[in-house]
Amino acid sequence: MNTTLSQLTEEQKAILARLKAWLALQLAAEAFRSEASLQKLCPVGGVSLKLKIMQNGASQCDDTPGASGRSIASNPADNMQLLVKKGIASVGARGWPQLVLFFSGSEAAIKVLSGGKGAALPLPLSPGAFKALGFFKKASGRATELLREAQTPDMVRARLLLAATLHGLEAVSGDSYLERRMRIVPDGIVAVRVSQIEFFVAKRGRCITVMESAQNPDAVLSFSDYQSAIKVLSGKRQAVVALGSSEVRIEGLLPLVQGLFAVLDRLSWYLGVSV
Amino acid sequence: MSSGKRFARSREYFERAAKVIPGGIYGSKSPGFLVPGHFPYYLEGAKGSCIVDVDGNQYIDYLCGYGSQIVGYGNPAVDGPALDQARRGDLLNQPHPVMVELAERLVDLVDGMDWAVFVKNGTDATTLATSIARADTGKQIVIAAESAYHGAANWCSTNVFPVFVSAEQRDVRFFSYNNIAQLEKLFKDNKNNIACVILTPYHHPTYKPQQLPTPEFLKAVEVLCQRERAYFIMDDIRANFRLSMAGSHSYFGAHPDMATMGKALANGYPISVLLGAEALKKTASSFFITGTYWMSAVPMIAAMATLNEMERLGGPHRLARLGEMLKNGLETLGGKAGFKARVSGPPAIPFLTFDEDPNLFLNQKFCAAMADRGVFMHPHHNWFISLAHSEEDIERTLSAARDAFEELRGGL
Repeated sequence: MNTTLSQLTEEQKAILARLKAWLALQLAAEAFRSEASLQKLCPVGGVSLKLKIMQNGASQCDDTPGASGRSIASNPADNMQLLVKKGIASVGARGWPQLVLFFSGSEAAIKVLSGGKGAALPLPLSPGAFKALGFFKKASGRATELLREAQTPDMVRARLLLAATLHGLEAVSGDSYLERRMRIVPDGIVAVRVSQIEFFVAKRGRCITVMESAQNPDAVLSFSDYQSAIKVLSGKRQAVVALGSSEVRIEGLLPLVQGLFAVLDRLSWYLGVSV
Repeated sequence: MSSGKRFARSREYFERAAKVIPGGIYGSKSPGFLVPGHFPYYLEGAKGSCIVDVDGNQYIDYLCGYGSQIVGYGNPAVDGPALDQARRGDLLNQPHPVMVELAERLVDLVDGMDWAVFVKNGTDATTLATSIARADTGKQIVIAAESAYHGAANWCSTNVFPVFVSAEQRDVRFFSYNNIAQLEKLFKDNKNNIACVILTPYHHPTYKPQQLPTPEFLKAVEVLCQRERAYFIMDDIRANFRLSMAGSHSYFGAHPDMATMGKALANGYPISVLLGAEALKKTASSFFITGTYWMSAVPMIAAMATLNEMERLGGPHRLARLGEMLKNGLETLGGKAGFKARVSGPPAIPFLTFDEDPNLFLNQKFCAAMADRGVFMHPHHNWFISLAHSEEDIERTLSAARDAFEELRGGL
């Protein structure tokens, strides 16, 4: 059953807005990492841009993982910042931004970040602010193109899809809908692998955090190749069928991975909301 | 042979299933619960202790239909009378007289029980038991052990959705099995509100080593229940008749007010039973208890025959002896290969884990290696010995295990 934006509660709107903003930032950073053209377009002094959604009371997780310091859910208001410096792109709280892009509320953020009309107010804080905004728009747009274009290399598409999915889990993990479910899922770290790509997802309490490195994961979720990952992550192949044919493998602490599937279902629900 | 060829038909069926059945295979039989690529998804037959998958691969089976097979697949002593009754009618308008005979037999056989209600699945029995306890006491709270499995109904399952919370899951409280202090605190915090404590005779959580009750634990449960005027329910669905013909509570010296039994009761025919003490009979009588198939005759005929066959084949004593042989063999072979392999639980219902690997990576590799060698051992769920297993089966299993441990050692 399709859900429309007007049917969401205030909490759900806040989470969806946070999700859209978080994914826009993460995918912009991912696009920068994989696209030489974007790297050339990046202003010489780098980019530091923050998204701020007014009156966004999205619930936060109750435990702060220390490993990456990039968790959205631990402090979403502070962490929604894109930083590109010395050829490296990252998302998280990193000092004073060049520009803050304000959204008047969750609905406005959802609409603007879904490509629709809505109010977004840029607040420049230092020279180069509007170049940073221009770069962010190009990088986000390029990420969307890379996901759609047939000629995108499999590795790039798989990485973008994986990043979108895992960072999406981060953004929705504080949803009160998941609270009791998250309580029965064991804490731990899942390594998510496809060929040369590897992410780590930490679950502690209600909080999910994506990390780039970790020791001794409690579980491993792996795809046999890029194509398998693309098909599953883009919804073209059912995950359960891929699991049955060994294109997807789960090893180690299964209840941890199964718990993440429940969050994944919730993420799909949010992404399916008609705006 | 590659797993693609070895399980070609299993995979083909599963791909078809995923189009028309949610999850392809739902629940505990889902491929993801095993190790895909090493285990079949569909079976087409079985005989004695051996199962055959849709691709023709054969396995010595230690899952036994999740415990329901106790005298062997296709045992003519059970199937003969059951099929005979099937030809004469299974689901009739009124009960078949065998219902009376089976109730009398179970009441006579199982310690401390005075009445019997027949249902289909374990969930039916545990849900009815907790409902009767709540109705009789007029109190709401049910106490259970963390990670214990009492069925798939909303009150006890892992289907944790906000919409179920207020109505069904809110009044179930949990404590760590064997932890008397935690249990005492629950009784103190919920004084005069506790309807019952429901426990398995020993703790058999999925994904973890099994845990036997400490000598003082079950006694403490009884004392706390008596003080609170709450009932003690023994959920013996999984273990029943593998430890004692008088019920697993008898084996551990416990005295529950109600006991649920199923699985092995009829060697795979669909029937479970809720047994209760005299004090609860009036309340049970006041319940409208019914289900379309709950009084079908064939499973009851099969249950009578299964009880006969269990006794004839040596019952729990023989199961324990075979289980000890398997346990000792696996632990010794594991140790020789350099692993801290430990078999937990009663020998008749064993489960192997590796002390050095609580996340079960080694379990998954070991059970996959065993399946490759024609032995079906579940990596995450406890195993079962049946009376159809022979000493030769155990020896063949240990021979495969020797190679499997070596394969594990080589892979590290």
